[in-house]
Amino acid sequence: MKKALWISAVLVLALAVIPLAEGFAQDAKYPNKPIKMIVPFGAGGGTDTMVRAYQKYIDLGGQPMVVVNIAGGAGSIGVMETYYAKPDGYTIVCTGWQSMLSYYVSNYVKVPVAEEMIPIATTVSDPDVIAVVKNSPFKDVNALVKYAQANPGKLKWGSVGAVGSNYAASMLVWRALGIKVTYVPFDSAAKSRAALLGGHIDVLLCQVSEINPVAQSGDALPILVTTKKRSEFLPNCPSMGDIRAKEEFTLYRGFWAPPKTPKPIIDYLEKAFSKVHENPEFRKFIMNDLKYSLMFAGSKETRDILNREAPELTILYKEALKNKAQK
Amino acid sequence: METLLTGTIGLLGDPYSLLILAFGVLFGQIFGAIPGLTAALGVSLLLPFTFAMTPVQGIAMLIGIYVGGISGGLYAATLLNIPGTPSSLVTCFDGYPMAKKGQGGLALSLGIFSSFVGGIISLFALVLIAPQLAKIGLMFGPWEYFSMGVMGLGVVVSLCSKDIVKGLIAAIIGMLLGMVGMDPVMGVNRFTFGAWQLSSGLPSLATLMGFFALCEIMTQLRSVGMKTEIIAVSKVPLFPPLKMILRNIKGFSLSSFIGVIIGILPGVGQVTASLLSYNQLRQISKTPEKFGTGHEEGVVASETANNAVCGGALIPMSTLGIPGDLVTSILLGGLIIHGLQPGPLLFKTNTDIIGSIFGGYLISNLISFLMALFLVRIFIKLLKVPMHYLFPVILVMCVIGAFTINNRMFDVWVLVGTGIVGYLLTQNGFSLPPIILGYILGPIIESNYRTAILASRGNFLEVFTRPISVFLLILGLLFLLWPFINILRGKKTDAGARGF
Repeated sequence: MKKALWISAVLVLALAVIPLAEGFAQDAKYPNKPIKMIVPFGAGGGTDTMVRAYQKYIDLGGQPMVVVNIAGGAGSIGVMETYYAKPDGYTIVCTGWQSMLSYYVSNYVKVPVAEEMIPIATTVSDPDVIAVVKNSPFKDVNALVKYAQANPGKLKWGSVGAVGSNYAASMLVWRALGIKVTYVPFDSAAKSRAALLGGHIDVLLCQVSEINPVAQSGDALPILVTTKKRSEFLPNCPSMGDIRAKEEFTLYRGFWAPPKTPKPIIDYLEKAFSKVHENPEFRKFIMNDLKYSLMFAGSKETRDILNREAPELTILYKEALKNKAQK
Repeated sequence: METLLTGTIGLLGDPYSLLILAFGVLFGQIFGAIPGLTAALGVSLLLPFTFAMTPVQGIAMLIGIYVGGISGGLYAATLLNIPGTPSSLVTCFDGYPMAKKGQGGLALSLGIFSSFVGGIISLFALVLIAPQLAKIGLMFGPWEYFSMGVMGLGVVVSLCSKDIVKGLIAAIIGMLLGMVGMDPVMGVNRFTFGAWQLSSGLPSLATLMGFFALCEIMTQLRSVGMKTEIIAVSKVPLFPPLKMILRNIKGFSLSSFIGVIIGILPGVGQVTASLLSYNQLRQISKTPEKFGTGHEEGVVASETANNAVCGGALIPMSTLGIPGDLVTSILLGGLIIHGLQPGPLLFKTNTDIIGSIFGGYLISNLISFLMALFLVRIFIKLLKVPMHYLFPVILVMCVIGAFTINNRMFDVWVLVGTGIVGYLLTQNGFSLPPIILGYILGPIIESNYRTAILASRGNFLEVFTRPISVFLLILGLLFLLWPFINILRGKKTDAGARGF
């Protein structure tokens, strides 16, 4: 009996010491435990697949990166879980500032997450593209514009989400082309693609990475990319530059840490991610299989892009909200 | 057909792939059998492990889990009245009463056989007419989905012919639960009471398990310490009697048909398919009053339809790269990781991969059938474990399942909350199936209605210009009026002893 008591006393003491030891170790060196990477979308999607490629190639001083999927709310829930996490560098999230800005402007969340979260790096960009089905009467942008201008509001223009970046990009394109259409929001990318192929909408706006499989098979015809330069994945598809439009939109994705994460940690992570980008195997996977355009903007550069482009996008988001409210 | 043959032979000639596939099926069966753990969870947990495999092996394993997971749900549904996976929910209606009557062995063997039949018939649809069926799937636009949802709600009336008012109230409660979270068009938060965690709605696995597992456990807890009838299953025959198979041929084919059609429509799912086929079989049955009292046709309807959905869901996935449900969307992710672009081209150019999807599906169904016959002999032994040991284990599993799907504690509280709500409702004479129907169909109806009405610029009448929509709406109207039609014809429509 006495022996058992002794053993349990020792065990309790040992348990009490463990957190202390951990505390010391933390001061010593970052990272000393696995880093939790939140993917704000489900397993198997584009963002998830990309993050798993980073997981495979990243070197975090021997510590593993653990991918955790927290889906829902157009990606806002996973971001908020990160926002409220401890700013110790052990919880980060894969998202982009445009999405975070739209969560705030569209009232999904109550705090300006894009302002407060700390960027680690922006690593890929994925332009939007507008596409029609293969037997569509519109074989190019001109035919589409001609029809839309003659019949304002008749064209059914589908995309995912009624507020946020897809709608904002659509508004930019309408402005550039000078057309009025009926916007049809879908709740998933799969459904919007099925609606295009089934002829339930006339035009689909989605990301280049999403249209690629159906464009390659010839079932859908991409007719305009929303960046000034043509997309490397759709070299035959005209871009905004080709039609002499000033407007431009591309969706950025990268990695972000909770507010108040110390600078040394951000620097460490930024370096770790930039190292991955030097790996040719990784580059091949992202470009050939995921069809994302690789880029690298570090913490400071990402903040600069945000400061430069956010005001205009905010106006656009607000306009989108107003449009919806009138309906 | 040729693709199927080469794919199957390819898999059979590769013992390592075959072993991985068998492991997938076993893993799926276990995940399916344990309430709280589901096929979708199994597939997403094992997805990272497939990264290190060849594409064929990876796909074989994921399909194995999928098939095993959907088939494995029937044991707990039949023996404990708790669906092992939400898709086996309808199996409880008749499987459990059968077990209570001492026909548990028969019910299990019939369920296993039905799963196999559903799987194989949907395989033929997948192999022979996938491109044509995919085209039918594409004919479904927002209006068609809306009409299908409305038709599905019509089932509520015939599900609750005993107390229609309570049934309708339950369906509305379900629809309200489905509205929690961001609305599908404007992104406005509804019924979240300031909790941002709720903005994506009530997590579906936690909600369904709360209503079925937790609620049933609480109900049965009341009988702890009391003398209760013990369900004894002596022997599970390898096959249900030939006579029984023959007299259910119509049931098998109709349920498979419904399952495949529901499967090719993205985002509708197994529960809806099995409810629809249950309702359909009852309406054409000579003995509709027996449904719900432990009737073989009820088991056939549920287990055939939910497995047929798997083959159906693989159709748009392999021909168009459009996932039919959660599991197939994870499968698609698996393809991308292996450097394959899912899409129409895959079906035309990568016939080896398509072949291994077909072959993997065929072999999974065979292995799942054989494995089930073996596993079921272990599971019936679990009945000897006293309930006060068994229930806590199931409870822990539900908590693990609810937590793992989104990795957050919040979902566990949803599980507990819906469990309590479900318990209070059932104790007051409300039945759960209409709630689930409302919960699943409500959002389908709402989001598609709103998309459709935006697309038609406010013109509701457009729904009547579409043949499929009109057909579905008429069907729904028939469901609604069925009890009255039967009264006119002088037929009895008692929903049975289970009281829905």
